[in-house]
Amino acid sequence: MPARDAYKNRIELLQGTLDMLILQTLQWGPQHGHGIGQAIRAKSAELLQIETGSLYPALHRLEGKGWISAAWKTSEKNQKAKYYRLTPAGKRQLTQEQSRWRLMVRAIARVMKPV
Amino acid sequence: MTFFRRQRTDADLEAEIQAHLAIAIEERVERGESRAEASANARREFGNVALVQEVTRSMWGWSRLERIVDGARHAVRYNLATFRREPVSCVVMVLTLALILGGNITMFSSTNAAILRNRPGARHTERLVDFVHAVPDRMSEAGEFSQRAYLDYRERLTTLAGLAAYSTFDRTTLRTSDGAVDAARTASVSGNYFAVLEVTPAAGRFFTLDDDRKTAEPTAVIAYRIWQERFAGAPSAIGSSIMVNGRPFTVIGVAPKDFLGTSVWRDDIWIPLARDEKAEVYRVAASDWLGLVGRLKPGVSVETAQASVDVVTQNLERGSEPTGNVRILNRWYQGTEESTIAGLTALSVVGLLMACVNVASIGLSRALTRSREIVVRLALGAPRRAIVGQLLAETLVFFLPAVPIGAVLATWFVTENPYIDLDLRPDWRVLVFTLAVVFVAAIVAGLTPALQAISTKLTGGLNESSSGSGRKRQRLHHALIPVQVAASVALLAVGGLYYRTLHHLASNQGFDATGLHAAMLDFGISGLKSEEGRLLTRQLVPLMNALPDVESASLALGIPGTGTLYRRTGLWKPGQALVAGKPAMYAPLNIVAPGFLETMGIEVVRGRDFSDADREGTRQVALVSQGLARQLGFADTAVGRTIYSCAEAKCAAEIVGVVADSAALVRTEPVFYRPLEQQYSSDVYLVFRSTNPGAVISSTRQALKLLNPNVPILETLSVADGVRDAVFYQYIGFWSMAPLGLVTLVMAALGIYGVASYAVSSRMGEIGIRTALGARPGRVIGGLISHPLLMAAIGLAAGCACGLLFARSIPAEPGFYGVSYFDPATYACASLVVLAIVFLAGFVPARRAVASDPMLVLRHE
Repeated sequence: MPARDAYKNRIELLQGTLDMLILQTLQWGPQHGHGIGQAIRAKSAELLQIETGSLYPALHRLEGKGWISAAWKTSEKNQKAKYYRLTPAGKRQLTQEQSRWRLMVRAIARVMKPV
Repeated sequence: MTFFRRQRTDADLEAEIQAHLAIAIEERVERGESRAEASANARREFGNVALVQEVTRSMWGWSRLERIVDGARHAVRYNLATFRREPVSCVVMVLTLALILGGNITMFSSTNAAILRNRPGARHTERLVDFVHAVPDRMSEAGEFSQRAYLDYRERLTTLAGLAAYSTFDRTTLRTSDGAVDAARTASVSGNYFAVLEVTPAAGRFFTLDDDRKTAEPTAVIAYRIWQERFAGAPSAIGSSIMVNGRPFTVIGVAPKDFLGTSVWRDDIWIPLARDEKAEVYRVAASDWLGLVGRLKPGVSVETAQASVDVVTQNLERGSEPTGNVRILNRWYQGTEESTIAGLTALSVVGLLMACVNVASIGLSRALTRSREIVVRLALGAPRRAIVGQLLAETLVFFLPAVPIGAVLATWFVTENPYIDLDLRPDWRVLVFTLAVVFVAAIVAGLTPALQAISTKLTGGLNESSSGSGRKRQRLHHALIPVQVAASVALLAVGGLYYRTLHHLASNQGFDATGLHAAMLDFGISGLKSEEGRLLTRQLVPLMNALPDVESASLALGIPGTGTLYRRTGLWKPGQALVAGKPAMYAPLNIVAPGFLETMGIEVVRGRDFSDADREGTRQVALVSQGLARQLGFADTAVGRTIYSCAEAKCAAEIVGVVADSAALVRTEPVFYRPLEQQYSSDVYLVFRSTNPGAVISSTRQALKLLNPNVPILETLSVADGVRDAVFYQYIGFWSMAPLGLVTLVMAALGIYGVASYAVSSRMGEIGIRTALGARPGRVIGGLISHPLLMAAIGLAAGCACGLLFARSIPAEPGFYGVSYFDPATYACASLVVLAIVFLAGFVPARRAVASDPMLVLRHE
C-alpha cells in the first residue's frame, strides 16, 4: 500500500503543478492549447514538454472548476482555434498558487541546502 | 437534453484537436518542413488522438447515466470497427455463439418438457405413480398390463386413491360433421382417468364411470388443439357428433390446453375403454395392453405403496400376471425414454460447458490482443472500473445478435423436429434458462479477460513486446487449450462411435431399403370382416405386381428396420409343457404374404418361402430367422420341426424355411414369420419396390377404389426414411456430437494459432537473430510450436479418457451397435484428426516467422 500511495502523490503533484503552469501562462493573455504547450516549453528552455494527453485533460478540468473560460476565435494567421483565458476566479487561484509555490521552493531549498 | 449537449461537446473537442494539429502543422511548414513531413511529425508529437479525447472527456464530470450511455456508445463503435477489420471471424464468432445457444435452448426444452414439466395439465403430480414391469430377455421394462390385472390392482390396492388405465391406438381417423377426415391419435381410457389425474376440463365435462360401460352412449373428450382447429373453439362443439375410425361419438368435453395425455405421444381424442374394440380381443387373450397410472392417498409414500403392490401382484390370477417384477415410479418417463432424456440432458450439459469454454476463450484472445491498449489507458489514469465495464459491454454487444439467432435456431429445431412428439413450447423455465446461460457466458467471456487485463503490472505490459514478459497473463488462455482439445477429441470420438453404429446398422440390416416404400392399410377401421379383408389382400397383391412401375410388391404386418415390427409373440417348443405365460422365448412376430421376403431382399437360407398353397385349412406353417433357429436350439435342423405360438395345440405350426436375420427395430433380431392367409391381421403394410412411388400409390388408390371404396391408404412411408427414423437416437447422437466436436476443434485451433502467433511475435527479434546466425528453420519451428503441441498432447490424453467415460455412460439401448465404446480405431482416428489440425494451427505462424527476413525484423525492433 505505501508504494501505491507514493505513486498517487507523484501524480497529484504533477497535476497540480501543470495547472499552475497553465494559469501562469494565461496571465499574459488568451491562448489556445497548442500555444500554451509551446509557451511552457519555450519558457522552460525546452526542459518541460507537456504531453497533449495531460494538457487537454488539465485545460478541461480547469474550465470545469471555472478558473479559465474558452471561446472559439480566429488567430492573426487566420486559423480558427479555441482560446482559453483566465477568469477572475482563475486570477485569484493563480495568486494563491504562486505564494504556495514560493513557500514550497523555499522549504525544499532549506532541506536540500548543504549544512 | 444532456445527450445533445454531449454531442456538441464531443464535436467541440474533436474540432479543438484538429485546430491544434492544423496550427502545429503550419508552424512546422513555416520552419521549412514539407507539408507531408510536417503533418506526420505533428501527428506523432500529438500522440493518440482517441486516447487524448477519452482522457479529456473523463474530466467533464458526467452523471452515472451519461457515463453508461457513453460506454455503450464506445462498445458499439469499437465492435463496429472490429467487425470492419475482420468481418469473417466476427460472423463466425456470432454464429458459433448462436449455434451453441440454440442447441442449449433446444436441449433444455426437451429436458424441460420430458422431466421438469411432469404431466402438464394434471394436479398434485408428486402423488401420481406409473406401473411398469420387467420383461424377460429384454433390458427394458414394459408399461402394459392385462385388463384382469388392472381390475385386481384397482380393487385391492388400498394405498391408492385411484388407479386409471389407458391405451393408445396405433392410428385412427377423425371425421367431423363438416366431412373433413384427418389422422388423429386416440387413447381409450378408464372412466376415472381424468379424475385420477385431476385434470380440469377447458369446456364441458370429463368421463365418469358410467360413460365407461358398454350400454352407455358413446362419448369422447377432445384435445384443446382439435377443439381449436376443427371447431374454432366454439362452445357448440360440446354435444356435437364426431366419427372416430368410422364410429360415432358425442363430444362431452375438451381437455385443457397443456394436457397431452399420459403416453409419450400427444393424444388428440380420448374415448372410454369400453368403446375400444381391442378390449374384447385382448381380454380373451389375456394380453398386456393397458398403461396404468395411480394416485397415492395423501400421506402414503411410494415405498409403502410399492409394498402393497408387491402383495397384490403375488396374488394375481394366473395368466393375468405380468411377466416380471412390478415397480411403481413417480416419474413420467421410464425405460428407454428415460435413458434417452438422460442422454439429452447430459448432452445439454456438455454443450453448455463447451459453450462457456469457447466463449471465455474468445474473450481471452480478444483481451490478449488489446492488452497493450488497456495497459496504456491504465497508465494514463483511466479508472479500472471503467475498463472492466467497457470490456463487459463489448462482450455483451457480441452476444446481442447471437441471442435472437440462437432463439430462431432453437424454435426451428423444436418445430421442425419430426422425432420428438413432446410439448416443446418454451415456457418460463426455458426463458430463465436462456437468460442465465447468456448471462453466465457473457460474464465468463467478458469478466475473466477483463480482470486479467487490469491486474497486470503497468510497466511489464508496456515493455512486453520487447521483453516477452506477457506470458504470465496467457496462463488462463493456455489452460483452456488442453480443455478444448480434450473436449473436441471426446466429442469427435463419441460422434465417431455413433457413425460406426449407423454404418454397422446400415450394412447389417439384412435387407435392401433402396426404393422400398410402404402404404398402410387398416381393414378394421373400415369395418371389413376378416373374409372381406382376406379377399382384398388376395386381389391386391397380383394387381400391384402387374403395375409397370412396380418391381415387386407384397403385404406384411410390419416392415423390418422401421419400428413397425413391434408385435411380439411367445414361442413354445414341442415337448415343453404348454403353460400360458411360460414360453421358451419371445420373438418379434411378422405376418407376411408370399413374395414378401423377395420384395424385401431377405434371403431364404434353407427350406422355402410361404406359397399360395399355404392357406386356411391347410397345414399351419411358419418361417424362422437364422438367429431364432439358433436361439431355439434347432441350429441346422429347424426345417420340418413344429413350434407353438400360443399355449394351445391349435397354435402348432411346421417350420418350412429358415431365412436370413434382419433388423427388427434397429438391430438384427430373431423374427418369427407366419403367413397372412393362416393368421389374419386387419392392419397391414403394402410394401413395394419402385423408382416411382408416387405413381404406384395413386394407381393403388384407384385400384382400391374399385375393389373396396371404404378402404383408404392411411399413410405412406419410404422404408429408407423409416429406417433413418428408427436409428434416430444414433442419428441425433452423431449429428450433435460431430458438429459440436468440430466447432470445439476450430476453437482450439484458433486458440493455438493465437498462442503461437503471440509467442512468435513476441520473440521475433530472437528468431531473427537465430536465423541470421544460421539456425536451421526446423529447429526454430520446433522450439516455437513444442509448447502448443505439448498442450495439445495433454488435451488428447484427457480427451480420450473423457470420451471413454462419456461413451460408457451412454445406455446400451439405444446406444452403440456393432462397435464397442472403447473401439481403439475410432479414438485413434479422432485423435489423428485433432492432432493434424492442432499441428497446422501451430505450424503456420511459426513457419511465417522463420520465413521472414531477419534483417527486416531486427530493424523493426
